[in-house]
Amino acid sequence: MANGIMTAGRFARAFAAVAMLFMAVGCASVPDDPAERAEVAAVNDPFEPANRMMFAINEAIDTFIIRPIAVVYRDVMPSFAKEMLYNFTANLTLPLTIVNDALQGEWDRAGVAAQRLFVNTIAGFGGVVDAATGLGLPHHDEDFGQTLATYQVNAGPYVVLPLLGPSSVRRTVGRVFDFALNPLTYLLASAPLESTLVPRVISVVDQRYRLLAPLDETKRTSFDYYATIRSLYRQRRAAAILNLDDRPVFVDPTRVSVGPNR
Amino acid sequence: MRFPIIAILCCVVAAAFAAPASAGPAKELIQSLASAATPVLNDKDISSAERAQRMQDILRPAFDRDEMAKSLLGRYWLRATPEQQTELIVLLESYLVNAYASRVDSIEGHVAFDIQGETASGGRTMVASVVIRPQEPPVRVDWQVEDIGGTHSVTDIIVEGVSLVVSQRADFASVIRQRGGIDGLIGLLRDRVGKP
Repeated sequence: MANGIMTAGRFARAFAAVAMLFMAVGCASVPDDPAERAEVAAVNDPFEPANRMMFAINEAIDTFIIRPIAVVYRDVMPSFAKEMLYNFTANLTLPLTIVNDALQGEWDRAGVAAQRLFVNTIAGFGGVVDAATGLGLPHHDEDFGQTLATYQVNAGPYVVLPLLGPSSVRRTVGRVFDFALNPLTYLLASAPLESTLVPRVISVVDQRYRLLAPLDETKRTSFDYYATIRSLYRQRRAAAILNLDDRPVFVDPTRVSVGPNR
Repeated sequence: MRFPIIAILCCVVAAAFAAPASAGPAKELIQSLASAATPVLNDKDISSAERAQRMQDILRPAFDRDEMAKSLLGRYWLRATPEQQTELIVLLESYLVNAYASRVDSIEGHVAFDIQGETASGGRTMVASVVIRPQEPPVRVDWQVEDIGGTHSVTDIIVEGVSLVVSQRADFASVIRQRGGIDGLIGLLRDRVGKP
């Protein structure tokens, strides 16, 4: 009990320290030139100095811990095992996807996700084999950040979260709702910690492995890696929100009308 | 008996010729690029340098480098002096070739393009395609084609919803704003492409 209170107190102090850091680093100043001001509004990154600092911290953690693990995973794990692990973690995202498809009124997509979950969990041995794609049930992801976007909620400013990386205020709020809306949160509430932690770790390593080549190339070719990643994040989110998996897409974040600045 | 068969044959032949003709010039451009690039990408006996050179030879005529430079600079294009604009056109072309040649070269396994439909809106046509590699998920690549002075040119490539032009413009705009304006960008581009 006393231990719990101490932990809570420590958390509050850490939170206050981070909040003060944000305030101390401050916001980027507002320019006088109207065109310049319009661009600053489109970029919508008022916490840029603080975000850049958090981005640098995340980069250091990635360079020294997460990326090396992903490289070992790439080189050591046979490709059939990588595919099975990916299938397994992708299958676990489906319950949340179904909930968000339903909240968006996308009943067809909810049906596809539900059938996919059923097929791959039963015939795919708990999700390690993807039998559903061959049956015309392709994978897709949804989260509550996307659901909020379909409710015309603005993305709000760009934020870089500790460890989680690029995000927006809306996506951050969405993450909290996702935890509460995810059926797995309740199904696994009394399960041992490993049963939720292990898939999460696999998922992080797998995702980082998939991004090895694209991120290495982006880092090598860009002049301002932070600004490039900010743009890439927004474009990927815009495409995800519009479910542009099955149509020719052109997604210019300054032109898409579904909630400005994803 | 004979006549209907000939009539049907005629119809089939006519349909066969009509089908490619119904594809617009945008789709034709992408189709010709894909059929020229596929053997180069899949020839594993040539060196990286040679593959890059051949890809350049195929792609260069399909892009309008003046238009490319203009859209990559966005609103900063009009702030650049004519001398800066001239230099930027040359530097940006070299930069893009350098930046994307190695990405193309690192593609492993057999590559095939599936050119799908095209949709036109407001003077620009999007041609949808899927890049297929064995053991890999298919990658959606959309080609934006515009009629520039009577010639159809590729003005953007969108991979899985990420636009080359929008991404590069974000990088360049940040450099211009925070690292010494257009001259700052020109300096960085010179260093990158190895020009004095």
